[in-house]
Amino acid sequence: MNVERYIASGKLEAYILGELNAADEQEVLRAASEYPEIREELDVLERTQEQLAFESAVAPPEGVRAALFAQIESAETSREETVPHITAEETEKPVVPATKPLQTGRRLPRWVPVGMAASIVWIVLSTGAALYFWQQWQQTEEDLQLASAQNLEVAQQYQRAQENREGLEQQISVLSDPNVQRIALQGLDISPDARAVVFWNANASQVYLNPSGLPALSANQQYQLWAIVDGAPVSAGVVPLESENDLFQMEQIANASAFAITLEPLGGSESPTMEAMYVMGEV
Amino acid sequence: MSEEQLVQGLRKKDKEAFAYLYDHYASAIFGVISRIVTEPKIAEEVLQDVFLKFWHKIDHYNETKGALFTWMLTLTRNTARDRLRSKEYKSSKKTDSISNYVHTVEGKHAVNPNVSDVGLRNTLGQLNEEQQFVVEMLYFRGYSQSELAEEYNIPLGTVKTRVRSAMLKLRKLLRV
Repeated sequence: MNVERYIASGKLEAYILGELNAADEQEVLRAASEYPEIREELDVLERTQEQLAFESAVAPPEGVRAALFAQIESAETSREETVPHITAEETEKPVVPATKPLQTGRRLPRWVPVGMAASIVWIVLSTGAALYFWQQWQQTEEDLQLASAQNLEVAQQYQRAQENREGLEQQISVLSDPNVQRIALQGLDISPDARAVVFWNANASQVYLNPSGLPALSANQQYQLWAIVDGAPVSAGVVPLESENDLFQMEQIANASAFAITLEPLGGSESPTMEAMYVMGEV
Repeated sequence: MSEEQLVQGLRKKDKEAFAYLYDHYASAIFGVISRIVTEPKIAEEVLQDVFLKFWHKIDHYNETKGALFTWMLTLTRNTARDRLRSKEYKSSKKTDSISNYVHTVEGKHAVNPNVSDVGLRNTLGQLNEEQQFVVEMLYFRGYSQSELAEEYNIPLGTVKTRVRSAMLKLRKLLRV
């Protein structure tokens, strides 16, 4: 398991907030017992949350404490339970450390104090160095975690941008194909301002539609594109409802004299509702 | 009293342990409640409610899962959130506005988020806006990550990474 990634995933935060289901909780606990870094991270998160709560503490109203004790007492007497009262003094005996008398009579060689002084200096210096490096390491660790969290966010943004770009590239390749004809569909009587554009590649029978100039739909309605083939309407499919893109590939049409769009019930119709024809354009 | 002693005391139904628990944690717990339930009278009821839960349900607490306070906080957030969603609360919110006003004027309750958390505002103020928002919603308003994602139309992954970076910054600010 990649511990860094696991820590950065946000799962531990959810665990601390008590949001995970039992299975996920078990997984986090298992990971924590296996990897000390994860255990440590959980502890820090708990302490951060605790600190936050203490920073935002609000003094409780006065009567609550007494009311609580009254409720506890009454619950207890009604159950008639007597709990043996064990106080801290009974359970814990103070431990008096045994002190050894110092041996003072012996004379030590003269180099001993110098050697001791030297080793003390050495210990102090190396402890200092160790502390210094430990702190540096902690700092680096934190920076790394922050960086990987940010990295993840950037990666998500990149992913969205990438998808966006792929959509646009596809649109460009459709629009720049020399075999593609552009057919502007103009608004009819019921909606003179409506517009739509069909891009039709007759060789490949491909039909693309930009419906962004059509009026907004109400619920349970959907636009449907029709090709007029030998004087009769042939469905080229319904216009998708959610439009993150503004260019949709429709059903294949090999020859057509005109295109038109009608308003139909959700899911489209077998044949067009002629009085709800919004736009039309001849090839 | 160490946390272990405190938990043991509570399990033995030792009232001294309970007094210790209340005296040390009531204000922190009440702070969280007051942010979720803004009505002072009901916040007070929830406070009583959760401390009774701490007392009666201490056997549900499992120390291998985390610290006592974490358990208390989760229980508190859930209780306050349930209360907020209850019908009772919604109807009281309409009718109780006058008594609420009286409480505020009398100054009996210090439930005024604008005054009471200067310290917190300072700390949170050092996060960027997005981070402040997720911390406020998740840790103080009792939202879950997925609720927040859904209600505010933020991808869940983004919520997670924002919480993550906010917590990293906070631990530095709070010197955890």
